[in-house]
Amino acid sequence: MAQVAKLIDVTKCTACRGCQVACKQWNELPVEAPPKEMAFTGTLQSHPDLAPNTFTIIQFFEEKDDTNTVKYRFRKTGCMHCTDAACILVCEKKALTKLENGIVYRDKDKCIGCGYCAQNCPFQVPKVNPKTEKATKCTLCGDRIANKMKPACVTTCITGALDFGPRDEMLKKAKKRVETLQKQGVANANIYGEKELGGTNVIYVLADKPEAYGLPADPQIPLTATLWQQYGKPIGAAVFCASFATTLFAFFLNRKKDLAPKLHHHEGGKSHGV
Amino acid sequence: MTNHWVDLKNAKAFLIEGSNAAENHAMAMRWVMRAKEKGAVVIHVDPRFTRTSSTADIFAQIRPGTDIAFLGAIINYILQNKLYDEPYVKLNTNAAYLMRSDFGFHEGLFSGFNEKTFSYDTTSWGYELGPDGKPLKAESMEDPRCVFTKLKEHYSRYTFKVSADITGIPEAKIKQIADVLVKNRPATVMYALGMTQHTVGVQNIRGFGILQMLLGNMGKPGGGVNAMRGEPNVQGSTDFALLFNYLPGYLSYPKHTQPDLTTWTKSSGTFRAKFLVNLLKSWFGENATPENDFGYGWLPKINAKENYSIFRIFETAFEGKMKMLHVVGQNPMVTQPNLNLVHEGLTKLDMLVVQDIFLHETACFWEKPGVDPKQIQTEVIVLPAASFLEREGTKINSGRLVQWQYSKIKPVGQAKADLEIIDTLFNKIRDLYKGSTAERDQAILKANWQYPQENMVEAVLKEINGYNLNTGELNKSIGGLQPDGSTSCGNWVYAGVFANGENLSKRKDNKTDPGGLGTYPKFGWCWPGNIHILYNRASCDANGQPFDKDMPLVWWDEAQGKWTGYDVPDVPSATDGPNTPNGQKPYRMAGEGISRFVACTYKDPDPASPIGLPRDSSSTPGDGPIPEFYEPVESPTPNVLHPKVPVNPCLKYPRLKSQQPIGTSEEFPYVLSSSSMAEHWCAGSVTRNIPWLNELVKETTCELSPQLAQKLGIANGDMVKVWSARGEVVVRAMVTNRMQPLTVNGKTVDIVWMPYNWSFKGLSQAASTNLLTIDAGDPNTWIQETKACLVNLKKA
Amino acid sequence: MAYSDNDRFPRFGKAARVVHFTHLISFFVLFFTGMSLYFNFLSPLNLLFGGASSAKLIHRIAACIFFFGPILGICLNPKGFFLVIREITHWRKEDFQFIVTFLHKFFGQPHEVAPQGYLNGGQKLNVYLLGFGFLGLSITGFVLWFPQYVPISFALWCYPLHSLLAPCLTAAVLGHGYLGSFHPGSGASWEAIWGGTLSRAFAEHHHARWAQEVDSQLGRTRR
Ligand code: HEM
Ligand code: SF4
Ligand code: SF4
Ligand code: SF4
Repeated sequence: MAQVAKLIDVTKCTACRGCQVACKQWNELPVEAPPKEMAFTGTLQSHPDLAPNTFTIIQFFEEKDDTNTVKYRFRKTGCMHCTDAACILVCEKKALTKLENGIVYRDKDKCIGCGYCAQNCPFQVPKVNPKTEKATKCTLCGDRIANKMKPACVTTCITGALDFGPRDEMLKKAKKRVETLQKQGVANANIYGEKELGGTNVIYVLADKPEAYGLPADPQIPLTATLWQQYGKPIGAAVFCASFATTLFAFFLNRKKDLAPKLHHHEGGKSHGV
Repeated sequence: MTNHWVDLKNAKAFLIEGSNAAENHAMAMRWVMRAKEKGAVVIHVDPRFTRTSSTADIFAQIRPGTDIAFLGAIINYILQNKLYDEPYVKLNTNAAYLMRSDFGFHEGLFSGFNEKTFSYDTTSWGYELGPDGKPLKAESMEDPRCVFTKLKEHYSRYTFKVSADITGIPEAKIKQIADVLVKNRPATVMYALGMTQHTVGVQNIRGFGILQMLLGNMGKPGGGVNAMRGEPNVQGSTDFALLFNYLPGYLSYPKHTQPDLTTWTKSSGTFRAKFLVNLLKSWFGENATPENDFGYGWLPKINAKENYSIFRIFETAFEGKMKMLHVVGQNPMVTQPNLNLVHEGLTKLDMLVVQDIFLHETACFWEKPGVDPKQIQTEVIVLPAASFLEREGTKINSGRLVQWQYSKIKPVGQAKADLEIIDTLFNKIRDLYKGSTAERDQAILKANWQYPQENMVEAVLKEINGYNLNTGELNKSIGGLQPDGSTSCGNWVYAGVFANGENLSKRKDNKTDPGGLGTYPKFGWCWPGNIHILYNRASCDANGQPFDKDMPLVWWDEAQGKWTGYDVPDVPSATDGPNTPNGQKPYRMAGEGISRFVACTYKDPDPASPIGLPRDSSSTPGDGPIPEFYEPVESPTPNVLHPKVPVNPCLKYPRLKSQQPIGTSEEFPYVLSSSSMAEHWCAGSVTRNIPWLNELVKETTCELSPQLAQKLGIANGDMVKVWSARGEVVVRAMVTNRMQPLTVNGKTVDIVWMPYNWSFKGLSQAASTNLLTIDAGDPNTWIQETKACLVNLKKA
Repeated sequence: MAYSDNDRFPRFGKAARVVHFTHLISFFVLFFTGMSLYFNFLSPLNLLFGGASSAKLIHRIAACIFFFGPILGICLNPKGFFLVIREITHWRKEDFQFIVTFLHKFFGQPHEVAPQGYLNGGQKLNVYLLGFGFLGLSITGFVLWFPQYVPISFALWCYPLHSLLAPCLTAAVLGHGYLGSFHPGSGASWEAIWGGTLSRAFAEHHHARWAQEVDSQLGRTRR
């Protein structure tokens, strides 16, 4: 199956948050809390961050530049469906896998909620639900895609900020859009996700540098994750095995020996034997 | 909307003023984005920087209630520099018409003002008429007596400097916006309650009309003046006389001064009398005959001097003169301004019937915090209504598109569809009146009211479309309606929705789009006559050929001898060519047949009337023929244009002195603007019962600038007390750069904003902004001034 | 007091012994509950603990015992703790000599044993190993538990560290356990951690200097 991708064109997003609600509806996700129990985020942003029952949120960025012009930016956040996915690398339970179509699929039954993916994801996407002890994240609506539908969020998006289709098509569209934007004077317009992390299956069209949207400029699988999975674990295992084997060897070697300390009735000096 | 939603994609520029479209008409942005993709420029003029502003190329922060000062400056700039579309103006407007010599404007007042009645004698606002009763035209638009000259004179006071002082928008920005509008045509205007909820609401919109006429943007794809209606079917409600001064189809409601059909026709004209006859035939059936004025006499008449708006409902109740109120699909205990008065009014009723899908604040008004329910004697009856998802019927969107909505969902519990409730009620009431001979009961007894229980909604739509009563066939178009009672039609603008026996509102062809302009003529049905862009004749020159060769919409086809195009041509008769009088009426709904810069009083003579009745009468706002800037009732600054007439002179406020105090800027230094938001809708009766939406926005907030917050020692997230002359609330402060103080007439003016969607019922509860807002109303429409009042605030 | 070949040498108080074994047990519980995350093929180990979820819970409970047990021990017997601290911070020539001969000892080869104090050189080293291992695993472990309270860059380092320390410490523990309990030469030290005292033969052999000290303190002189 060909690679698919979701295209998020932030320049068209008006933060209506239809996608946020559509995602909850399709995935039957309850609210995080009743309104009175939810903390004030300081802006119109709904949740401070993604949450176990919230696979996608619109992040609000408000700033004022030196010409007193307000910049009000929005970004739909969620899983990037990376090719070089840190979450997959650190998930020992193999609950996360990259499907042929590009989806980073989470197998609910395998997930034990250790939260390794949550911390190691360069975007901090997965969140562990303490009640169910499962990490959750955007599924790219794999269930809908399998039935020839677009993801719920994409279907809902009214402004055309979201699109979904074969990855190469989405990339082409993104490139064209960036070109148009640059022609219209948005000099910093750029694509995010084309090369990042091996090419992600969620692609952004941004009007400004990634940092302005809370995205790492150069996302990487954390060095620590690589050290851990590719070096730490084998070395640790080797050390353990070596110690185990040596001890066992010594055990059998010494088993029959009479090495018990004897009483030596002499003053001081060195004792011999073992 | 003169145009329609999809047509927004054809615009080269957008003036979004008094609207937060991205939040409150989110769907509009689909088409705005399409236009932007092609390079359209978006201008947003609003008191605060919103999600709509984030899509704009130019944002101008305006002081609430000063839109005419802003538009006036642009109009003046266009006039002074001759930047208008001259061929268009010459052909399509009353620019060259001669005005009466006694017309004038002085110190904030037009000629004819009566200080005692707060109203104008509008006679002097008319034209110089010829012997045929038609207006006289000047040789050139430069004639000192003509409309265009009057317009220029009027707006000559509106320099960029004056405008900047009043509105708080820097001069350079106003000029920049003017230049963009001049250079990028067609430009479309999108507005909503930010323009209308003022004591100068009608004049604000007239301002748009003048601007768009000057720029030649009316009747063209990508142009127009587009009202984005606030509710899914509010266009339908207004079409069907939601407002007290109309009958269905915007026919004016009979007044006590118009006891019979002839006196009514004297003021409304024979053209509309025909539609009234059709309406009466539809309402009274066989009982409506030429002999009895088609039952006109049975209609209750309103007192011409009285105001029957929603404000008066609660005031009348407060005065103890109203016994019972039936509220349907509305929650005035949240949405009305000056809520304390609303509550007081409700407590004085004997009985309140609420028909709604949730037990909202109006239904439970006696639960208002701080109120002792034992002291309230009002009996409350709730009729559980089916939600919009549980019933079939039409919805009419802002673009006048009639669409059928199907439903196979059964109403929850005992709930019933509104139509079913009303039908049951009516039949019960008629039973109770049976046998009465009293004249006032005849409207009910003689009514033609029998609907099948199966497919009742469609039966009503058929009645609206109307019949040829001789053949029994459904009407095909407005043109087929007869003045003699041989046809019936429940709303003339809807004639044709059931043409040829087919319910056209059910059509779903979203592929056919001749011309690629987004007209989709076979998707649903658009009133009137499936015309998608009103006044589209104006997109053509004198010969009936499109002004804009790249975006042709309709045209005169000489070979076929008829008007044709991608939209239904908006002409009185498709076969009357551009050289006939009917081919020269681009604005055929005005008596003059053309559009009016100055809304002169005018009655178009009807040569066919033996008793000299007019054919049609042009409507003129009661508070002036040209938009003039007046300050809001509660304003932080004097009116620099005419200090002696600071506010709309036709305004009567307070109407109830004890309940309607006016705050001064000394006591209440900050301007409050209020509105709805994307996540919660209107009263929130529905949306605040949806947990997913409650999660998005949790409570009422007060948005204020960092500068003001610093001055008052308020931090983002603090609770603040906000109070006006009418009430006080405690809400959370949202300190944001999106709010900025303005410099108005040399002084700093701080503006705060609050959403009004909350109250004390539902799953999400918070303070009601409308406890603060003012219930002064536009003298024409009686819409409330909820966009501008004065408040004070401090850390709670 | 008279000297006797059957003299016992008091070594660990009750508290220390209880702490040691709870610590030991919690350690192995931690080890086994952690292993299924280390290698997925070890998941069947979870069956011992009632499934992945309870294994996780048990890992955390055991972690608390593992961490707070020794701390409690220190509070109960601060003197003992400072004694150990003093010991491990004072190194003698003999301690190094002991370590040099460690492998001979481990594999049962003949070697000289320099006279040792309360803790012999090997034990001192062991305290360091287990002590730092203990601290390292505890700190990183708690970070794994509550990553939201530390800077993410620090949290990220805790994953490989915890993961690496766990098998390495277990390796050390295995050696320690073997020597202390099963090694024919030193296995008798088991008596100390189990019963609290050592035999004269063992004490004089492994901790000659300390044995002398104890003898003189108790006035156990040889006739
Ligand atoms: C205070 C002490 C400790 C704490 C708080 C702690 C906590 C944790 C936590 C939170 C995890 C993540 C997995 C999970 O949630 O179950 C973990 C993993 C693990 N723990 Fe511990 N732990 C401690 C001590 C130990 C000890 C003493 C051992 C073993 C000897 C151990 C072995 C492991 C192993 C092998 C893993 C899996 C590492 C991997 O996936 O690479 N832990 N520990
Ligand atoms: S639905 Fe589209 S426009 Fe609305 S918030 Fe989501 S991405 Fe943005
Ligand atoms: S964004 Fe995070 S969770 Fe999603 S695939 Fe990439 S690493 Fe995994
Ligand atoms: S793709 Fe599906 S799961 Fe992911 S954010 Fe969109 S709706 Fe939610």
